[in-house]
Amino acid sequence: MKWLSFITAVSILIVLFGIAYALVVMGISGPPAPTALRALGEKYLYYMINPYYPFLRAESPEAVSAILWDYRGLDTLYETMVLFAAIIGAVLIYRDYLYEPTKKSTRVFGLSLIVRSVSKIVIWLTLITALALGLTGQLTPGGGFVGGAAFAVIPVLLVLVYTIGYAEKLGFTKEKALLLRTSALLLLLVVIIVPYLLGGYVFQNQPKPGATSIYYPPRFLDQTPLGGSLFFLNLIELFAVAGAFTLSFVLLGLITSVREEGGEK
Amino acid sequence: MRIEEVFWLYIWLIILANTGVALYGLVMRPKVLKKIACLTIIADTSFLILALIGYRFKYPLTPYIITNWSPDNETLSSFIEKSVDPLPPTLTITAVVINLSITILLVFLSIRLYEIYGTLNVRKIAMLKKSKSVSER
Repeated sequence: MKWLSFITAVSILIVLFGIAYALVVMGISGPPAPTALRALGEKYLYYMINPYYPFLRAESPEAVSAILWDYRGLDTLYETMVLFAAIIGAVLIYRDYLYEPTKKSTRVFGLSLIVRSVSKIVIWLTLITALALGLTGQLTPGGGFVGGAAFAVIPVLLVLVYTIGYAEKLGFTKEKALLLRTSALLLLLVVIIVPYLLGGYVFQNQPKPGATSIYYPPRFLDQTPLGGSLFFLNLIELFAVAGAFTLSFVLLGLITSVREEGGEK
Repeated sequence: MRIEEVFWLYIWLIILANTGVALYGLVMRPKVLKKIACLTIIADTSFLILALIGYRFKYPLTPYIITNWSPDNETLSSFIEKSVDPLPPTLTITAVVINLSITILLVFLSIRLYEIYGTLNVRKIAMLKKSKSVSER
C-alpha cells in the first residue's frame, strides 16, 4: 500500500510537469503572458460583421455566436448530438420511471419557510436571466447553451426546496420535458435544412455566391440585428438544453423520492 | 518582474496545484461520488485554462462584441486592437454543457451501482465481485 501511494504521487508529479512543460515551452500560453491576438481569432473578429465581405460575414456583432453557429456550425450541431446521446443514455437506465405517474409525496411543503421564500425569488431571477441570455445571444455574450444551462437551475431548486410533486404540479413534468427536447432537435434540423431545400447551402444564413436560394432568414428586427438564423438557432438550443436538463433532474428527483418512501422498483 | 506577471504566474501555479489535487482524488479515493467531484474539478480547471489562453496583457481591453453594427475598416482595426480572442470562450461554452451532461450520466450510473451492490466504494465492490466469482465455482 505504501509503494502504491509512492508510485501514484510520482506519476501525478510527472503528469503535472508535462502540463507545465507544454504550457511554457510549447507555447500554448503559460507564464510569458500574451499581448498579441492569434491570427485565427483576428480573422474571425475581422470578418464577422464586415460590410465589405458580404459572403464571409456572419451578421452577428458578437464573435462567439458567429463562430458557434456560422463558422463552426456543424461542430456545434454534433456537440448537440453528444448532449442528446448522454441524456438519452442517462434516462434509458431508469426508463421504468419515465412512464410512471408521480405518486403524491408525503412531504407536502418541502424545506423551511425561509428557504422557500428565498428560492422563490431566485427562481424568478434565474428564469429572467436564462431567457435574456438565450434571446440576446447574437448581441451579448451568452447564447442558447448558456441560457439552457442557467435554466436547469430551476428544476433543481424546485425538486430540492419544494418537492417533486410540487414541481410536477407547476408543469415541470418529464413528459413535457421530453416533448420539448425532442421537438427542439427536430426544429433545429428544420432550420438547418430549409435553406438547402430552397437552393442554398446547409446552415446558410446569408446570401452566398453560387446559392440561388429564394429564402433568407431576416437580418434585422426593427433595426436590431438578428444575425440571419443565428437568433432562431440560439432560441431552439435554449429550449433543447433546458428540456434535456429538466428531464434528467426531474427523473433524478423522482428516483430519490421513490427510494425515500421505500418503494420497491 | 511586474506585478501583473507575478499574479499571472500565481494563477498558473494554482491551476497546476488544482489539477494535482483532483488527480489524486480521482486515483486514490475509493468512493465513486468523490471521483465524480474530482472529474468536475479537472473540467473546471481546463475551462479556466481556456479563459486565460484568450486573455491579452493590454490596457484598454474590450470583450469580443462590436457596438457599431455597420463598421468601416478603421472601426474594425481599432476593435481588433483591443479585443480578446473569441475562440477559447467558444470552445468553453460547448464544453461546459457537455461536461454537465456527462456528469448527469455518471450520477445516474452511480445510483444504479448503489442499487446493485449496496455501496459506492469501488474497493468493496471489487471484493464483492471476487468473492462472488469464487463462490460460483
